[in-house]
Amino acid sequence: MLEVNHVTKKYKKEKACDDVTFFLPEGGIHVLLGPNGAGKSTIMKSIIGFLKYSGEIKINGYNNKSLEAKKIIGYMPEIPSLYANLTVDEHMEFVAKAYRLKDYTDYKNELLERFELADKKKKFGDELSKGMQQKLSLCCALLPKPALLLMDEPMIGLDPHAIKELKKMMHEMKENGQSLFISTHIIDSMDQLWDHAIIMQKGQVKGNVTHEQLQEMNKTLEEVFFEITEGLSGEDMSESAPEEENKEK
Amino acid sequence: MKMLGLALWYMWHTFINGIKRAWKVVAAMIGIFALCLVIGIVVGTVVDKYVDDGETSVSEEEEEENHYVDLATYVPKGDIEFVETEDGLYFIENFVPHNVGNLIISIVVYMLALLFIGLGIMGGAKNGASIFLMPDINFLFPSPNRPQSVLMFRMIGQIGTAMLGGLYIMFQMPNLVGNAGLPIRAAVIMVIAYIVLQLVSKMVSVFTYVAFQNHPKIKKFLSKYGLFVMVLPAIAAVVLKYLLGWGYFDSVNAAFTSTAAISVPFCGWLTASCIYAVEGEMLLSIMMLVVTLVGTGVLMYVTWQIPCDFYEDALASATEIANIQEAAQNVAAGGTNFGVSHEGKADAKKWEKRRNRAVVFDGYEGAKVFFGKTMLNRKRMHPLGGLYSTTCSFYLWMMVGLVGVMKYLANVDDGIVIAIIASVATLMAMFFRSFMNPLQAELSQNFIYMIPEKPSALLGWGMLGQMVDGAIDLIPASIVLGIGIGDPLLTVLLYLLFVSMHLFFGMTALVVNLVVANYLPIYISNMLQSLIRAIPFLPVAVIFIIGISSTNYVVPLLICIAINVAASMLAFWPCPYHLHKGKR
Repeated sequence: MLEVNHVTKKYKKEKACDDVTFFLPEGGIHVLLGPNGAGKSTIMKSIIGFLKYSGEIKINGYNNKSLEAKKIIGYMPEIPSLYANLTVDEHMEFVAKAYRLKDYTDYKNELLERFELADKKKKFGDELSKGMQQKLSLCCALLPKPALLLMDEPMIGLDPHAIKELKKMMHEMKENGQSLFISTHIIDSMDQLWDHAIIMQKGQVKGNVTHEQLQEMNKTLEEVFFEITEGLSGEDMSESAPEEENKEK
Repeated sequence: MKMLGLALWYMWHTFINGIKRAWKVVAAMIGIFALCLVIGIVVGTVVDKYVDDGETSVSEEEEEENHYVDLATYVPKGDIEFVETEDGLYFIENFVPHNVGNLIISIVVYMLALLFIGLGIMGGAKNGASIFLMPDINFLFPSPNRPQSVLMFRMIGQIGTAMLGGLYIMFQMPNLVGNAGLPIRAAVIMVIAYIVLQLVSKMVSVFTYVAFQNHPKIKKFLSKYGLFVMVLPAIAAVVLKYLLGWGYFDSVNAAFTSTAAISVPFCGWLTASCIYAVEGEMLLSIMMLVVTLVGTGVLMYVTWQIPCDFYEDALASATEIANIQEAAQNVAAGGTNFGVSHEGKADAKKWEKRRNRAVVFDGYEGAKVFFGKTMLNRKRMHPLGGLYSTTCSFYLWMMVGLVGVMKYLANVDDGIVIAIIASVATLMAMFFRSFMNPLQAELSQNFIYMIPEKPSALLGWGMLGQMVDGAIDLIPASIVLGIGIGDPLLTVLLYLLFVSMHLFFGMTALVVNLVVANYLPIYISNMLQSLIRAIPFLPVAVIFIIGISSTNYVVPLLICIAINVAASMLAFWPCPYHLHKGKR
């Protein structure tokens, strides 16, 4: 699904990402973890195509900046930013037109209903609270039904009902064979959801584990995270089991 | 084409929603417009009577012959004198061209076009990717569209905004027709030409960014000297012709109205359109406008074809804008840079040096801190102890150019003529540069609402700081003007007029941004400010022209200054109440 090969991104002389390589198989919920400044946002933005970098990123075999790849990928930013003079409904229409979607009205209304925005269709972007902006941002990301959805801290600012709906949505997407790649600080929020985790630190991939692997090791994701980032474990977890299986395929 | 449809859809909804949200403001604007119309008619009638009484009659024959001629071959009808120089060259003295009005129009339109296009080049080279907003990054950049299509989306939005923003020039039509004596057809064409010029300027800005995105050295050069790149060739053409013995008016004519001059893309075409309209050649005039629009379309197409990868630049720029907007709406970001990082920018070292200069607030307490902040930031940010700012440089070099050309090229000896032209140019420049809220930085911080001082004191000291800041910026230019006109008293009065006008423009920007909701689209905010400014501006302009043309200019200029100050106080009057009410 997603191949990131030897991606390096420099800001002046500082490397935000240093020779990052990993593979995400199709389907499942993949989590990107790391402390502040680890390079998570940089790699996410590189995958979306916002940044110039050295290396290669492919989505289903297509270059990530190609139109074919962009038809597959969706993005939910960490900080929602909406057009001040477009209403909630108009934001969804805008995304539908940008993605050239057809027969999207029912799904649009379903999303607005699920995330409690149906009664706020006529509200303008700058009249919404932060939480509502986040919900609208999520609805806009989900509307094109992307095969790979990148989400940067999706649960920040959401109320409990919205978090519950989002988790439910994530399960549904996983059941449908869609892939999610989620960057987050809050490990607890992804508990019981994730299938595969990539742990970054100082611009490098330090850990790459699946849920099954951790269960075999009898460890939690949090424990592994702290072992890697605080250097408590001598074990090298940067190789990915799914990566090797994917290569063989 | 799909992106064109999306852009038009977006512009339409944004515009309609902006009107819906601000219908009270729109209603107020219509009321103010009606008031301006009444004032304009009254003032215009008074001026007409004054001018008619003073004017000598012009023969009908001469009026009928008001058509454009090539000065190089024109045979004058008045007194002429041929003079032989050492080199054997001949030039004509005491020559008053029959169509000097047309020549003035040509120069003004041409220079205005060069100015706007030059500024467009500078803007594009400096921060061309800043046309994108953060929502564009989040919604459009990941979408399955070519970067060129995304660029076209924003370009169309920018063009629409620029053209709508240029609409306020139509309020000048009564001046063009009534006071300047232009035919209505010419005034209409000039308004259209001005709007088209806004479009051209935006397109040139985007083209510059896209074309030179991978050439940082050229970008840096154009970001600093783009304006000179446009203006200097025109001035050089005048100087060259003059040195070849063509005479003053012939040289200027060759540079601005000759066939070669009007063939220059955009500048020449728009100038030709205006002159043809004045001459009554409407078909040619409209044709030149169409040629300009076609040229703009070609430029847009060429821009769209250039491969570009501007997403990273746009992301950085949009993030900066979003940070500033968030600071303005919510939490105090602190400092003078609103938490904006200059890291990675070409002038990062300069900002670092400035940041490290200590700022001491001794002597500024209570509400005076806002005055002190402006003064101390000036000292920190600009050379010569804060005396020589970028704005100061702009006015100074503009004045040097104007006075230099008038005194030494056009050989204008009459100080009053220099004073009128230089003052009008300075006031126009001040008008266009002053739409931003001068207290934006202060009002974006929460603590202005928390300081235990009267709202009138908080805003008053803040505005006083801005006024002094502007007054310092105008000193060098005023000194140059004084050298040009040779009348110290008139120079001082003009300087005070500029300062009072700067204060008034600042107050209108403050009152519109503070009193009216801040969700207004920028062009509606600018139009509202233009309307409010027009109310005292009209009588001030008339009194200024009448006063300065007479022998006793002191009283009229003092009246103008008094009107500006009174209008400023009136504009300021509701502001403390709205500050006290709190943020919207």
